[in-house]
Amino acid sequence: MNKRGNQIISILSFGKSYKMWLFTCILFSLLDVAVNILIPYAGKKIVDIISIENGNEEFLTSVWFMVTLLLMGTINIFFRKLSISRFTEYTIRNLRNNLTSHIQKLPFNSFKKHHSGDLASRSNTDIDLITTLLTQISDFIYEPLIFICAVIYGLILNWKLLLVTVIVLGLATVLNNFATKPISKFSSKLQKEFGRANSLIQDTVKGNYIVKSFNLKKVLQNNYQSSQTSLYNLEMQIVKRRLFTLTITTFLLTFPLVVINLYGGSLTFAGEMTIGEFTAFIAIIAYLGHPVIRLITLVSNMKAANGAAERINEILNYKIEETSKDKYITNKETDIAVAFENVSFSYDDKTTVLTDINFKLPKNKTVALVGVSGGGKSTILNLVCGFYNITNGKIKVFGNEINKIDLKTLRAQISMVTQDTHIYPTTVAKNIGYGKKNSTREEIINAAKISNAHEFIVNLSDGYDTILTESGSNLSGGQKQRITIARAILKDAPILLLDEPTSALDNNSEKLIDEALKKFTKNKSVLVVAHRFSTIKNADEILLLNNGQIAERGNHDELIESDTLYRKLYLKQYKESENNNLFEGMSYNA
Amino acid sequence: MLNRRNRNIYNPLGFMEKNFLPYIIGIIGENAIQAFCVNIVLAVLMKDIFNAAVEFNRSLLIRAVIIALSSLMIALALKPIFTYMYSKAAKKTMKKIRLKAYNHMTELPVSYFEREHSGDTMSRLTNDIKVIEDIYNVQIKRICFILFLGVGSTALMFIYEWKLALFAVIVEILSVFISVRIAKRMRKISDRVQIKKSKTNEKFLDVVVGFKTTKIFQIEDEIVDDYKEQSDNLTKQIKKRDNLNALINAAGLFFYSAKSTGILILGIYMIMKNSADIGTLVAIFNLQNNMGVLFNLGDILGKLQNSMAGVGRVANLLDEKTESHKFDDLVKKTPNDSMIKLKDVVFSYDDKKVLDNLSITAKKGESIALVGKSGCGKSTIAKLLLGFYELKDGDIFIDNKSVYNYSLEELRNKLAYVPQNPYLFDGTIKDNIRYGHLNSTDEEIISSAKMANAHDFIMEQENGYDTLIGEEGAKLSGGQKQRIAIARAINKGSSILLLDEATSALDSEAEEKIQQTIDRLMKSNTVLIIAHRLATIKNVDKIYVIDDGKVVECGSHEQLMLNESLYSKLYKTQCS
Ligand SMILES: Nc1ncnc2c1ncn2[C@@H]1O[C@H](COP(=O)(O)OP(=O)(O)OP(=O)(O)O)[C@@H](O)[C@H]1O
Ligand SMILES: Nc1ncnc2c1ncn2[C@@H]1O[C@H](COP(=O)(O)OP(=O)(O)OP(=O)(O)O)[C@@H](O)[C@H]1O
Ligand SMILES: [Mg+2]
Ligand SMILES: [Mg+2]
Repeated sequence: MNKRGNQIISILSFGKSYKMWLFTCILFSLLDVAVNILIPYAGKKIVDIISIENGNEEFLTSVWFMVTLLLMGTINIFFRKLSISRFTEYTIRNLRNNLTSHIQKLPFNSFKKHHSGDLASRSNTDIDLITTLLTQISDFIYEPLIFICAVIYGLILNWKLLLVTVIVLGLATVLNNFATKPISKFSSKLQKEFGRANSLIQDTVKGNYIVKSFNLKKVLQNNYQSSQTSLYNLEMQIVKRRLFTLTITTFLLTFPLVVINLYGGSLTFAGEMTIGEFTAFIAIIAYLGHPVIRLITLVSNMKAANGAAERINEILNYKIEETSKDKYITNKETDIAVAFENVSFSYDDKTTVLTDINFKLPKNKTVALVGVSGGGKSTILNLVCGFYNITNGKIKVFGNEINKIDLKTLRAQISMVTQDTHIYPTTVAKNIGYGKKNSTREEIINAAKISNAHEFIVNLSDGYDTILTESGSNLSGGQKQRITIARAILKDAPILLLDEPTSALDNNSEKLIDEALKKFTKNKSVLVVAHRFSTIKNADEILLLNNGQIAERGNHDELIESDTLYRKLYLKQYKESENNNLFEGMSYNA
Repeated sequence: MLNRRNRNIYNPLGFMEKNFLPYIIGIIGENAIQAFCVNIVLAVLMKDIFNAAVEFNRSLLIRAVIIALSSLMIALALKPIFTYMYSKAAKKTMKKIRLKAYNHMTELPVSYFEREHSGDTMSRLTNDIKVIEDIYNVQIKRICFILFLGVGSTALMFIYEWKLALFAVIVEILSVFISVRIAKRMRKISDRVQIKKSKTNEKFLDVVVGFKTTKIFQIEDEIVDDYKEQSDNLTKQIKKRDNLNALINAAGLFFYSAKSTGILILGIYMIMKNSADIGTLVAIFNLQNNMGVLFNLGDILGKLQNSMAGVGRVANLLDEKTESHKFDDLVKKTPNDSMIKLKDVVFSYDDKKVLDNLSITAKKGESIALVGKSGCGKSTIAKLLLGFYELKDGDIFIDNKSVYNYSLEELRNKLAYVPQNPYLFDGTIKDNIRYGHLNSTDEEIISSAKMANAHDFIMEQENGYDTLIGEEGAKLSGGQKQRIAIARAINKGSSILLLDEATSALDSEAEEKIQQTIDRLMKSNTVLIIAHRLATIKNVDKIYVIDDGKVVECGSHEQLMLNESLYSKLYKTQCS
């Protein structure tokens, strides 16, 4: 377990190769300290000329001294800002890119722990908080140093005045800090309320069909109003608090100046210091007060950034899917494409979803998974892809145990049509083309033809270059499905996983696809999930899943003969079918 | 980019309405007090103290203290009142804007949501609205303060010593001139940073949303590379911005140094020539410092202009047309007694006709089914019944009255809808079903779930009805999600039920159970079923076969099976 304070340090490691920028910034900060403390000294020299007779020559040297200092100061500030900016930009870029590619590499169950909005806010707001801190990081050196230098110079100028200044300013700062403290307790309440309002907005936007058809508008509006009212009340409470603290702050920030000026004036009056010294002293007051206030801000920024770093590290600390293992071994001669041996699985370590699953998918054959909804069919396909770790047993793909091989090489062997179609907000061609790197337009069109999508695609406004909207809302359900089938076909992998690939399709399209797939899958090993028995009854083996177990297995003819659950389910679908001889026809691998 | 230039300038203060007066009084009052009674008075105090020190003048010292303390007291007493005034006005306005924008968003038509990225709408309602708050509470306030302090200090300088003041003003004008120019470039770059930032976020969402598909097709690298490309672009723009920022800082310091050293040297020279006193020099030194805030004017005006883009985006949202529905008092009855009737309906999303003179009727208590090729317009018909889109031509009647005789709310109350891709809210199962009918009791929810054949699997979940289902129901199987959506629709208890492929992900056993429920519902309700699995619709009274946006066949299953209809062919292919 990382300790809380260390969170930022681990983030800083992303800037390792840019540390020269940081050192440059520190160097210029040190120079800046020197320049900034010499400026009041030069000012004092100039002012004190007044009381010197014939000080013309000395006046000139002092003036030149001052001008040199100021030019140096200008150069310093430029390079200080520039170098810290470079350091921050590069570090943050590394952090951002690493976070994203890390998220992409996470195993499913770590990923699913977080709402997408939550992940987005970590990559945004939290990184912004860290950015703010990084740009100020050299101040942790600059501010204390300038403070120490100012104290020393103040001692030299007049120790009594310094004592009074330190006491008055110190008291003011402590009181001020005390006065502004209670506000922070409101901010977490405020954050929560904002979160509530935002998730309401998200639901309303994403679920707009439901909001409209169920007339939820009024209710949601009322919810939003009540959330806004409590936000308003909270904020007004904060405003009222702040009025009080603001008054104190105004007082605390002005009153010390009045006191210091008066006391300094009277000291000069009494001849204990020269006018020039008094002027110099007034100039260093800023260096006495400012660093303290600044450090308080820095510490609170530090706390905020630390919280942010903690949230980011939480993600970065999730183990990524293992990739360091053995490469997939292609030359393992085996006739079994996929094998499950005593596999058990649970999503949450509490309820088991699969128990003791055993089956083999021989090379270039088709195995179908059927069974009641929620029986674990999609889960089996997920496991073949190595999305989750199984609790028990072995899964082998072409003889390779999948938790011992590199997942990338494993997935190169697999193509899949998922139950929920996913459409990327880009062109149709690109959506299909994602199936295979550097695919040509011909290959894409060919895949679209096999999935019976070509015809409707060319009828879209821009054909293959039509841009699909978020989640493909400008397509019909079956059109989306055919695009995802085309994508899977384009990949042309030896193992094909189909999860209800044609559930949203009409019979004609389905038949056309089935026929095209039949040719396509001649040399593919297919694992297909379907509720429609027409799709599966020609499979070489059918597994019926019930309650996470394989309840029945065999081919269609065997299963339909005896008194099985399969037969029951099957007959239900064709209960009133008049024509039994229609139950013949195509299959994938006939 | 072009329409960015042509964008209307929206007045952010226009949102204030009756809160405008207290706001403006408050903001002017607060900043005038801060500038005059605190910052400028300090300069006056210094002048007197220094002069008293040099001239050994005790009464001057006392006078200085009295003036300083009394104006400080005034400030302490009055400032909070003004602060309260404008803060309250601003918060009230913000609440009003938020409610207005949200309420407006709920009134927008479906086509808006299909057109715009959800991330964009959400950021208008959150980030952009926040920008308006910044205008009220930060930017306008800064501008007021800068003006009061800058102008006040300048005036006083001229009163004290016009030569020094003139010098300061000349340098200041030069610096403001430069600062405004830099700020202009700065604004452009900041704009670009903002655009790149939102691009990067969009790419990030692509990573998060398509997780599974991305992994199977091993396009992780491509997707992440896309992201990195945007992220690198972002860094490039930020680099440009930071360079400029360093320049602004250096320029600011340079002009400040030039001005203050110039004054110091000139002043000392004048003192040596006995044409000025040290107190005045000190005061002017302080005042020119105050005047320096004018340098920030360019920056703050640039930021304000940036914020205006945000205001514009909110205003654009508010300008979006709400769902239009030509409500008509004149009751238009259908000739015959029908629950659902589409008459010669013509509809298209863009310019391609989706429905072309289509007519469909369902009598009260009748059940009908729509079948046809994928993409032939079945879902579109369901959405038209719900008043999601405007018809191009033709009429729709619900329960014997034209849809235009209903308000949208009344219309939608008559229909319970299970969409083809049901959206489930991130929450518990119970809440999701309850959304069908908000006042429903737990018993009603359970009975709806039973009717949708969902009760059993719900009870098997860890927390039963209180199980959290994850974002968009991620923790449920495909068929489980569908059954929750059906339960939600049943729970609504409307007289018309629209089922769009409601059982496509279900096994035949579950489907049959739901079928029984639907059969039961058919007795008292009117049901419209869209399905590809023809076995599931055999019991309906009438089947409409749709092709090319028209009804090509119509009749009961038996009637259609008798002759060589398209339907019978479809049916046979499926059962083969
Ligand atoms: N990500 C998840 N986290 C927790 N539980 C899950 C998750 N995904 C699925 N489940 C549960 O695991 C069980 C099996 O789900 P699975 O998706 O494999 O069913 P299925 O057989 O594909 O059903 P369907 O035919 O309805 O798609 C279900 O009870 C489901 O609620
Ligand atoms: N929001 C939209 N914008 C533009 N075109 C659309 C939109 N929604 C659907 N379409 C197009 O309108 C046609 C009809 O779509 P619809 O969703 O009604 O088909 P469907 O009959 O339900 O098909 P499926 O059985 O595949 O669900 C399709 O060609 C589709 O591409
Ligand atoms: Mg499934
Ligand atoms: Mg549809």
